[in-house]
Amino acid sequence: MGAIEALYIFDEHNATILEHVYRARPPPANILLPLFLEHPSPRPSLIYIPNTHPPTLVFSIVQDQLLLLSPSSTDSEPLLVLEFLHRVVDALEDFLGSPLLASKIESSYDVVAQLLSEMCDGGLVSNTEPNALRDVVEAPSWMGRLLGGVGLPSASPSLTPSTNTPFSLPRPSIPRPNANTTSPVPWRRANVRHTSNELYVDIVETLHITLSPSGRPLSALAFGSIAFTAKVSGVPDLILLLNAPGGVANTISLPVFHPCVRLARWREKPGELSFVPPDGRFVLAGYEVDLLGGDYLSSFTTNAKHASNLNLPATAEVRTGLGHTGAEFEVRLTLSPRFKSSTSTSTTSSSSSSSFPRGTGLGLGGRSGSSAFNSGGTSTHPSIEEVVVNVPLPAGVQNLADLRASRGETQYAPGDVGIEWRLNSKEVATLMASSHGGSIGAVATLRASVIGADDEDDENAASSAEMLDGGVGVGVGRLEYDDDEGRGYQSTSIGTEKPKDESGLEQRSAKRVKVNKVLMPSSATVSFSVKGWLASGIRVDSLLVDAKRSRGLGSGVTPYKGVKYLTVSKRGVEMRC
Amino acid sequence: MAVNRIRGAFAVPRKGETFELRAGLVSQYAYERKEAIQKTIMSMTLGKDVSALFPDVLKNIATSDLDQKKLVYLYLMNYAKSHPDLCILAVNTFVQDSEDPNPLVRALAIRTMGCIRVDKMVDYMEEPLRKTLRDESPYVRKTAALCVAKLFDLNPQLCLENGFLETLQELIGDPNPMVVANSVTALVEINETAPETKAFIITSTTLKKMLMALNECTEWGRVTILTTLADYKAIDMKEAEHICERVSPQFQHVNPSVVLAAVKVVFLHMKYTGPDLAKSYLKKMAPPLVTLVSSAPEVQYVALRNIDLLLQKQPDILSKEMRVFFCKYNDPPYLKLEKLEIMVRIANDKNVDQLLAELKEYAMEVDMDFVRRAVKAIGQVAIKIESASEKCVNTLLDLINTKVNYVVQEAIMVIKDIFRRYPGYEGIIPQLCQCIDELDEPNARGALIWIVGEYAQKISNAGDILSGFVDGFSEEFTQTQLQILTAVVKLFLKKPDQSQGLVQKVLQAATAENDNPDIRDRAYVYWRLLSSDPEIAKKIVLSDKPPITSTIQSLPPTLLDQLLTELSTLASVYHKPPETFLGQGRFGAEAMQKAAIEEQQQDARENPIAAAAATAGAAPQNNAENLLDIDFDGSVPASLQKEPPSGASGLEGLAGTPQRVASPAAYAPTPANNMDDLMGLFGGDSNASTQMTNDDIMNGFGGLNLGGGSQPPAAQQLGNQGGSKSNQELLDLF
Repeated sequence: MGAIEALYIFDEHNATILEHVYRARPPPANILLPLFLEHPSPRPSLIYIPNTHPPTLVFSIVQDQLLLLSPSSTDSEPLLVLEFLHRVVDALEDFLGSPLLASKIESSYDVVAQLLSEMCDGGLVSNTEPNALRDVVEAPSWMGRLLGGVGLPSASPSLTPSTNTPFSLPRPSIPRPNANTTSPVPWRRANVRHTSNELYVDIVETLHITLSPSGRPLSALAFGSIAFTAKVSGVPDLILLLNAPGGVANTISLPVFHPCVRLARWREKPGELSFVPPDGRFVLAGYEVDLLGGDYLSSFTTNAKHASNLNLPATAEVRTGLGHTGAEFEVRLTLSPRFKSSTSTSTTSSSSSSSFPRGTGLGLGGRSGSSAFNSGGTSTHPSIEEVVVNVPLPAGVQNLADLRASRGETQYAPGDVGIEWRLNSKEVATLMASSHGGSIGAVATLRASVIGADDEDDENAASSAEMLDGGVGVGVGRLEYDDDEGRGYQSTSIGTEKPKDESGLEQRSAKRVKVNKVLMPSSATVSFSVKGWLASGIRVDSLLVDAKRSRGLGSGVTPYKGVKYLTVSKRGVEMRC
Repeated sequence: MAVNRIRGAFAVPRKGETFELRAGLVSQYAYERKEAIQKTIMSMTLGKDVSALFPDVLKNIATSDLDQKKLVYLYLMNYAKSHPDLCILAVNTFVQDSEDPNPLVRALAIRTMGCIRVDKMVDYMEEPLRKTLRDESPYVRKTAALCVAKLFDLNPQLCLENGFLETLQELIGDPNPMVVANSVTALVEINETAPETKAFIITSTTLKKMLMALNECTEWGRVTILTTLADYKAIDMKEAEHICERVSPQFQHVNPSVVLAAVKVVFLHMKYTGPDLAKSYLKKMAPPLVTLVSSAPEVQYVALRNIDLLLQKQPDILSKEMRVFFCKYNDPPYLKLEKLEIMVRIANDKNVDQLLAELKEYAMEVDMDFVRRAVKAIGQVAIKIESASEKCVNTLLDLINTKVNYVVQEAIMVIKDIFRRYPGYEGIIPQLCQCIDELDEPNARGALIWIVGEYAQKISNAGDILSGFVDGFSEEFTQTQLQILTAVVKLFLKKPDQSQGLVQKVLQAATAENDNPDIRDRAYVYWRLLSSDPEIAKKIVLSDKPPITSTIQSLPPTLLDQLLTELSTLASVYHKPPETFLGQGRFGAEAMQKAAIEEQQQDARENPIAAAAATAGAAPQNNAENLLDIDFDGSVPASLQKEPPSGASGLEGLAGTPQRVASPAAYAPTPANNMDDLMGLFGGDSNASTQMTNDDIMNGFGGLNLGGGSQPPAAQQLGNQGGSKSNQELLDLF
């Protein structure tokens, strides 16, 4: 039987900020932590530690630089413990605001302690629904602290505004329910009241795409999640209709649902979600889309040159082994002309085929932090933002010389594991404008040459080779180092050394090409976010309140509705080379 | 600032701080008291010892402020043990609170009472618990249900006398699903600690209730119910069908632990349903498994280990989902290796092209362990899928042409296995012989020498190649020496006219100048064979060897079946039966840990066939005496084996698996596990010992079936013991 024995939280300096013991006598946090840290990184999510008595298993997750550990000395279900840790994070974020910071936990220990004891009773996980937790634990509030501080009796919670953190929702301004009216729907709080009734649907798709060197996609998956924000009085019964080119049933695979969704209805009519929502923001459903289609596997065998119809907003291409010594590589970033930068178009308001009163994507403008996104692209004019290219470098690379990008900023310090090349929205906009909507799209390039470890042994050869290479070595001096002393030698050596006899150089550079081959990056990942576009093409057709089955919603009240689409890639588009 | 504060947290609270808190706790103003309680809780949460404040905090228990009450209760739970006598003072409030009009307070009271693990408290719990179990509010009832389990843990007698168990059993019929789930949880826990109470027996009525509650209770309740259902044996086919039908909707839950628990239930019950139905459930099982893989990395590791287990039983569930398992550059190494393992398992002739292209990519990467594993995977695919073998060989040749040292070595070892499976690839031998100078690892050298010896009649300069090796005979590793010896004898039997001198030279070197008994013995055996009758020698040394069937490492079927019933638990992650690391104290546990941490590295290093073969074939490698020794081995007193490790890490694994020797029958199905342990200890040398036995098999102890997972358990048992014996001998050598 899976039981949580204790929960420890450590901050980014590995100092204990929370110890909560549920049952038994697990090793205390200050004993457990060094044993955990002994294990070489990257650490798996569960680690067996035999040096304690009794031997302990440690489950761990890392969230916002906080390390959460849960020790266990019995055979428990790993997924259950890990999921519990995630739920603890969710609940803390919900109550204290996101991102979760050590200081936030420290300043409201009373709430945290109540939450933890409520979520898990004597080691058995009992209640992790944020809505249900709100029924039993009061969120920390400025007003309450203020009043408490001046010695006045705490005001009734109905008057207290919420802590206004960017990612959490404003607390619904309802009195804390009398506890004898526990809600009949386990995930929804009892007696929900809102002055303005609002419903928002945010569909976010995260891309995981791997492209082969030729640009042919090897795998292309999009993980979608439908985040729903319900701020409606009473117990509403909603129907959300999804649509997709080719039918929802064929597009969406592997859907998972919040327990509120009526599964039978979905199975009968795929694309129709019928549910009574919890109050506030929650994840209604998750799904996966195979962007290549199910028959791609068979077409792979028959036709290797299968044309890709992915139409990615941004792709990169890495060419390695360039230059005289093969020490250079080039990354070409291509932005698709179909998408444009948000800065020039953020005010576009367009009618769309959706049945919503206003254009999709505009519903949230100006509202308080109910959504993490600013106003941005629309479904007719999707816009691309925050383009970042990461190029991981092999361990042998000690430094990079002559790192230049045609646009944007690059970040690299000697010894880093990779280059980060960032284009902010403004640069994306100028880049897009310069391309004039050509069919290829806008292109930006980044070039650099690698310096490996053994270059230090025979640096003369390397530097002189670079000299011949068209003065590449001069670029070294331009790089800004944090640790000048150890690294500055190269620019000086270039100044003093003269190129040696040419014939020996030929051989050396041939050798260098071979050596440098190992130092070439083997992949690049592109991150970006596109508003108003979903890779899968899924759309919300309609969102209806079932008047017959809903209760507590005043007659004639039509909630305000809004829909947003967002596709993000968090280093999810991987190009091999 | 923050750092200072945190640092302060570790220090013993100064007198001033405790003083201050105490002053606050006894203040005449309510808000000061509340603030002091909050601060006390803060210190407690930080891990400071504030138990000295116990009497003062206790004074604040009778309050109408619910928040304050909760905090005081929290404090009590934590420190009750340090002041057991004072706890009695709180009893009155507890009893009062358990009759409070507010159900939250009632539940809080009964929950706190259960968590205060003080003997004196127990006597006062009886009445409140009886009342709250029949409370009108489901919230109170479900809390009280768990409290029964807590009480049982403290005082089983009291629980039985008061009939709390019966009440709990009745609560399974409660209209509220959460109460049902918690009652089940409590009963299961009681049943686990004290099976003699028979607290929890699933009848058709309780089964019905549980299935009803399944769809309505919280996710954690579902996990409990599903776990219970997995342990239940359906009485007939209809019931099994019913369970599967009700459980399969849980596949679409967001909580991965619910999904895995549901998969477990359906997987275990579907074999009792009809074959058609079972097939359709197998199909339904693929999507939820894939969702597990696409979740957070920490979940992935557990999920992948479980999937690996499922695939060993049902290899074709995920064959359409190959792409999900493609490795990302950023994946941590332990995930990458696990994914490779799974990809090889689900390879079939439809997806093999894509897989090969992918594996070739991996083989070009920089991480050496991963690259070697990828090359090995190509070989495994070649042996698994006959139609793809040619493509695999071509891919391997491409890789050999890259001249990257470790790629070439691994590829040679893999190609050796392919030779043992399929005839007709002798054409590539010249190409292999070209890279002879680049091989520096004993395994790779051994593999190439085996190839040369085996196909000596087709290689015109075999004699030259081998004489090169014979010249450096004394500098080679043991297993390479054995290979050279055998290869030269084969060459002699095939081309007696050319290599007379060579064979004499090597036999001389092996017998006169070598002090390794294995090599000497083998050389003498060959020498006698050759001197008595070359025809008999031919029959023995050059006899036809049966082709190998698979190089994919699999668990023995009995162990696999056992582990499948442990799906979603730790046992399924470590692929060991729970008794090897639970309840066997430190040694068993240590062995498990070693295996768990080093497993990935090992997998990358070791030859899969070596492990499979070592379990099966170590016995024939030992001489007849050793075979006879098995009986003796079995009767070795366990105490002898259980002696604590004498500092050398190498001994721990042996000590960790003493049961196997002590009672062979019970532990017969654990050879792989055992081998893992043994190999883990030897580190680099493990290869040496296993490879040696492996090579021996190649050399003609033909009658044995070499397939990894297909031997009858008895043979494994035999091999297993032999294996451990030979390892022990090796240890002695050290």
